[in-house]
Amino acid sequence: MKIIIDTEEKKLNLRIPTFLVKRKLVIKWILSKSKVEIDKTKLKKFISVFKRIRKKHKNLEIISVKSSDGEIVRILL
Amino acid sequence: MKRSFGEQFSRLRKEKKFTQERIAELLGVSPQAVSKWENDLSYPDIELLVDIAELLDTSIDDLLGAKKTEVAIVPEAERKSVDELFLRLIVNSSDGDKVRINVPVSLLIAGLELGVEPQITMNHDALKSIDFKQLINMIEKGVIGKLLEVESSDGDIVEIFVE
Repeated sequence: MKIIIDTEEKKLNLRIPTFLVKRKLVIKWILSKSKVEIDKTKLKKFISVFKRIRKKHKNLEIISVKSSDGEIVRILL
Repeated sequence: MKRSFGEQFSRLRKEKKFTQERIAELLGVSPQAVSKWENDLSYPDIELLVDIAELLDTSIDDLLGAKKTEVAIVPEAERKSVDELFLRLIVNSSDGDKVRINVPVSLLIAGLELGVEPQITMNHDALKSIDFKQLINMIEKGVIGKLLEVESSDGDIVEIFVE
């Protein structure tokens, strides 16, 4: 997974290892921060869908933000 | 809302997984020219449109944004799998910010089942109450195209497509 931030002053290209995103513990932590109750079976299903989608659409741009002053933030799968 | 040539070209290029450099090489132009097309700073020569449409596996009408994105119901036998469908959310704010969200429908379904509740925070009541589960219901019944277009009082435009 990649997060690209492109501003006038800086260009950041952050690579987040996919194994981290796919870890149950990490997803649980993220969801716990948003106070979502987690069902283990559904979590397992989510991770398997995530893996399948990533394999099928590698580098898919899921989020792209272009501000009026030219700053760009992109998140790629 | 009609998409510009640059937006349409950029979206189709990314779907085909071409880099700007690669498509420039295939079309015999410079990567800088491709970048300018995508930012609507210039346009390709008219003769190139046929080659571009062929490379991107689309029509010239679609490239030029003439394709209508009306809602349609796809018959069950012709429906794509949810892995092939994308929910695209386009926000054009009145002050010039542009947000594009492109989520595979299957990932959205898995997220909703997990209990994630996506919310669009904007100065418009209609957007606060978008029921994504209802949208998924519609998609599962074969509805594709532009599902929603809202313009807020301060001029922000939000569109939701299924493609």
